[in-house]
Amino acid sequence: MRTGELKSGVAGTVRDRIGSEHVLQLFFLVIAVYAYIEAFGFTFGGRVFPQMSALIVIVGILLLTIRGYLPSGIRSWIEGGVDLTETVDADIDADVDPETEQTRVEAEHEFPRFQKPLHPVTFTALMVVLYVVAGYAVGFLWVTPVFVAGYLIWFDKPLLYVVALAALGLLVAYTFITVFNIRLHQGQLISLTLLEATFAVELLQSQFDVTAEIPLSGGRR
Amino acid sequence: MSFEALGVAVDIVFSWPTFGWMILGILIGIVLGAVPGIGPAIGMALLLPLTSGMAGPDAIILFVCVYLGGKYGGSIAAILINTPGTAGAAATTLDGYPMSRDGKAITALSISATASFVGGLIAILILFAISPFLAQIVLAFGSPEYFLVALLGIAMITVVAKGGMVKGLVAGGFGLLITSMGFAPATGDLRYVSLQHPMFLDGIGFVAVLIGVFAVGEMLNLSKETGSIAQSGDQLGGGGLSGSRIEGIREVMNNPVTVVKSSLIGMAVGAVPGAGSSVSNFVSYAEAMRSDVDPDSFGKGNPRGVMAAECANSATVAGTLIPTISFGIPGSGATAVLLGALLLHGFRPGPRLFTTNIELTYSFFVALLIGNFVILTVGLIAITYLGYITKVDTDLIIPIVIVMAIFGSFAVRNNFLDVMTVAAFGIIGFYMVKHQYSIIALVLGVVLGPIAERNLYRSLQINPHDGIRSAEIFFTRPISLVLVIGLVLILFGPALKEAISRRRASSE
Repeated sequence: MRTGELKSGVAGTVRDRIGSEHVLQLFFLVIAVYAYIEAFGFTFGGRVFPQMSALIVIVGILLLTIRGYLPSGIRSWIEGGVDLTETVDADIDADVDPETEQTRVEAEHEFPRFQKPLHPVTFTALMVVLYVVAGYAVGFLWVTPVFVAGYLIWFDKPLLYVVALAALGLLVAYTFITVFNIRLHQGQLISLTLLEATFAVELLQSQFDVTAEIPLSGGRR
Repeated sequence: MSFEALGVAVDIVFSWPTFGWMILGILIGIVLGAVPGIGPAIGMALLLPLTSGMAGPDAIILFVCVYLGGKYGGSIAAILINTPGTAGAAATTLDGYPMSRDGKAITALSISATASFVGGLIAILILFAISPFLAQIVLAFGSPEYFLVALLGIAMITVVAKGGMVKGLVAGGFGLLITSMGFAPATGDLRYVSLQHPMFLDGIGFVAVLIGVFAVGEMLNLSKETGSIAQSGDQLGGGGLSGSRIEGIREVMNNPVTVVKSSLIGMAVGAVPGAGSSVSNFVSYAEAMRSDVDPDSFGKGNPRGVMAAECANSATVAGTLIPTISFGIPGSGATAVLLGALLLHGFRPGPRLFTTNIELTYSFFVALLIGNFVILTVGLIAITYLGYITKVDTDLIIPIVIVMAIFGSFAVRNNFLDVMTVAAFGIIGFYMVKHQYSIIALVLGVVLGPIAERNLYRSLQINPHDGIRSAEIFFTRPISLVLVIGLVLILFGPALKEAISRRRASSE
């Protein structure tokens, strides 16, 4: 077996064994362990609750991790339960048998949105993260229409919809910023704000006006 | 029931702009409920930050009405396109859609509007009648009991959550844990100072978590879907929007037993934390089918199927208010947001809402009562226009909802951490749903975290003992002891039952 094939084989095996659920569990575990250890530095009253909550998470994750090695009675207790509260969409997502899932995946790939380089969910999640990061850097006012337009263009929406919804996005952002006085138009790195540009012009104008009225030395009194 | 308080409540609801908020809430709820994938929980989560400047009673009345309207709105898509707008309308599809296919869409929608109205009305009247007794029960609860009730609420939801109890407990525990960031509510400790940045000092906001898991998480889920939100939108209404309003009303009036029974089931199931309308509509439907003279006609367009499901899910709204207002235990995603709204506007669930603030609580009930009349009116008049709501393309909704989620989250505290929380919990929430970790348990943990911690601290302070002995307080008070036993039974009962049945099977 060639090295490349071996590597891809190992990568495939790792992918099969470590899915997004394991990443999620690891995330819960890391946060809980960190919180549990860090809580030793708090007073007794401030420590009890976070440590109790962290213990629930740690014990739960450990039980989920070792459930395959536990007696069937305990395993069914860990894995048991019926859905009565989650959304219908959640129902559709979960508990799919492999054959149905395979058919669904094949059917999905017939749609143009699944023939893109990124899965729609990955793309949307990435866009959300980029939107937040870009908004933090340069402010959300101008980033918002770009985000909306980018999202719609990716999914091949007609130009009219792209323009109209980008304008709607800008309007929503502008309304929040002005009506609700939300200071999200200011970026931490660069400020690309319409409002700030307006303020700057007004400031310059007022300075110009003020300067015009300021008596020059030896001028009129 | 105090009639004086009721009079004040009526005055509150009929004053301006409260009355306007009530009407608006119902209309927003119907629209949100009718759009599959949005639903009242997401809509309420998005509205939550926008109401921070509103008067408390106005905001809560708005949310209660969005919730009620959303429950009714869910039936529109269920009947017209076989897609329940909310989980609570899932059973409505079983006979509602076949009715549409038979060319009786207007009859089915009229049944839905009338049954929702009658079911809601019956439940609210019962709620008024039992509210004085609720106050007495709630007043018997102290800090240890409140702490245990918070744990019990999370435990009850984990029992019925998909993916098993342990996953539910992990989700609930994680929810509780993340509320411990920042200043401790009881002692003032600044926790996790190694995070350094000032934005972490206030901790993670529950509103941002709610918006993240409900709005952004659901948008990620919707992004997988292609085309119109009504996936079978081309077959809207099957036989078109036809049928008769009068026939629909007459059907409901001619089946009083089904209506009353379904309303009672809806109310009772709603009062159990963790159940909600997603359970009640199926329980009620099953009971209607079981007791019907022609059970085989169910699933083929039997009007009693639609009315049973709709009476129940409307009555569930009043039922879910009982644990939410009394103990701060929401039974569903929407009531979790409602609880968040109560806390955001300074209303702490508990005895005060049934004693000194009783007129306020009654005003929520009166709003529900009037809201049911609005639903009946809107439902019967605007039926022919409602179908178009369900034809919205998901791709057009997603970016706008995300923008509103980001801005809305920041509006509450002007803290950029909330924006990051929305994005992070949107993604975490999506994967939690995918891998069957209950997001309702997570949200419950986040919302109840500070309340649970404050009451845990007070409970430990009441007891003079140190260390593990300080926990004696939970075993020495009768109600606490009952709650502890309940908690143990809920958590370990299923395993115990299975062990006993195994032993019996092996001995036989």
